[in-house]
Amino acid sequence: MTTASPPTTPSGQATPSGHLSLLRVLGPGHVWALGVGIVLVGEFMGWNFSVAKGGALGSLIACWVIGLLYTCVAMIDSEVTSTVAAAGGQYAQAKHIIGPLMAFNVGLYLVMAYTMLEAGDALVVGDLLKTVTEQAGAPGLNPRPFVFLTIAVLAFLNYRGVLITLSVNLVITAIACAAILVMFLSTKPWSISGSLMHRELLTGLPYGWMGVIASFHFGIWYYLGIEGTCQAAEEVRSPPRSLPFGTMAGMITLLIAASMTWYVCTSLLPWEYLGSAVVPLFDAASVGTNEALQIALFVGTLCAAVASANGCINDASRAWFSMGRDRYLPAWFAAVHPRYRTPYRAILFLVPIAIAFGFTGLLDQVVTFSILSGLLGYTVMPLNVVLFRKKWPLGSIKRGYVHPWHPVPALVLLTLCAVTYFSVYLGYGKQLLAMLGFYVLASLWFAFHRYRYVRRGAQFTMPWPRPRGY
Amino acid sequence: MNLLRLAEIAAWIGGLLLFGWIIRDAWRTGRSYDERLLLSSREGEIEKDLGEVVAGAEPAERRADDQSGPRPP
Repeated sequence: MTTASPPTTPSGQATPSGHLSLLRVLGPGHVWALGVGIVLVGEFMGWNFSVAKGGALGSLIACWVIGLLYTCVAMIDSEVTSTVAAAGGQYAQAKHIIGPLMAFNVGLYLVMAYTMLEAGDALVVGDLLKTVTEQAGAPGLNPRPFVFLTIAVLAFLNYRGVLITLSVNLVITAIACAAILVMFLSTKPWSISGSLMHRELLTGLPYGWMGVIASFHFGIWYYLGIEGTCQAAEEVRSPPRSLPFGTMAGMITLLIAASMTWYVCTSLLPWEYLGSAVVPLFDAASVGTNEALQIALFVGTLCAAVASANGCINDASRAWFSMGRDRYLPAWFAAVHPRYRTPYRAILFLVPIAIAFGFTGLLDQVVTFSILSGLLGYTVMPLNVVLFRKKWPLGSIKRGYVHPWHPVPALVLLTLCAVTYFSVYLGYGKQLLAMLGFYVLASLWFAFHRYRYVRRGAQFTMPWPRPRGY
Repeated sequence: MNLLRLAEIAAWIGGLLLFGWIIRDAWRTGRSYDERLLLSSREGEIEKDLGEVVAGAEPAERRADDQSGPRPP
């Protein structure tokens, strides 16, 4: 039975517009929590594999060079998203500025990057619980039920509303940030007689500059996902203000957190060990005998992984929903829940996919696919912003934020992306080629089959003037 | 059965209950509401002040390759 019921607000009241839309309830703090929440797990684990490639100093170079890459991403994203404020983020940007085929690819990069990262985060939760129970003298925990439970709880949260989802993220991201800060302060970096041993442990570049370039691949872990703030564009109260502020504040937080993490870990653990550690911050906390610090780092790691998975569900579902709304995918995915105002079918559809990848247990492979998808997305951004400035020069439309020194950030971003591809190729060449092959096939499917269903007349939704040269 | 096995079973059951609730609610929502209403979300209705056109500029218009008619109301 199908009945035409009126759309309702979360409190059950009918909406004045007569149609459903996502709720605009988020502020800059939620945007910050979305961006930092997705990324912060990378400070607790993963970044340290860059130490194995380039040594401790090589990892610091990767931290700051990749930090520059992401600063360019954040600046470019902030400008374009403060204007193209639609769910789907970079997908909606590419749709307006470049064209449908690029938009389809960017949408797919986003969904793959976030769904894979979500699976990786859930894997981390399962592995962390297994490690802790083993340390407590009870080995043999099967992590799979906890991978499943983590994704189910977060999917439930996302299903029930964006405000509660990102409010929870705000709290657990703040806890994870505090854990890094506590760890940093506990080493007394201001004291000469503290426990830091940089003089003994920093041993130059063991594999030379090629090792430094190879370390860029894992340097991405420090920041992967900060661009996800754009996905909240349709749900923030004031996109021109909140999105640039939340994104840039998130980037600053991450640069500081990444530097502190590197500083503490490389001064407590030898690079040979650090390069292969599963939970480096937790291991660094275990160097001393401070049990409270170990507990704080365990809680911080758990919160970071959960916050990341939570944000990833939010972002992947918005991108999938957006593509459905434009008929790049079946329209069925574009449904908004009349009570919770969430893209509930997109959330539901992506859950089994994340669980399936989570059950593989292949953390490095899953996250590498996420990194590659993210990297492909970053490569599109320079083209995006150059075309954006060319078609709609400054002054032709109102921008919430204007990034400085254009086109320098775009050129820097493009150059660093090229170097990072080379870096990924050095370690994961097969995966890189397989991923590119997958996107080529998906593009062919879109161009020769799906494009006929696309709502071409409804593509351009922003109230902008005609582009220059139109 | 030790505590670990109990925790694993509890996690399976908790996850299944939550996932089951989501599926049930999604199914019921699809049955209770008109599909056109559920799919009525529109992009670009954020805020008019966002893309405020500077004085003298023309409003946004469809692209030349527009073939699918007017946007749904």
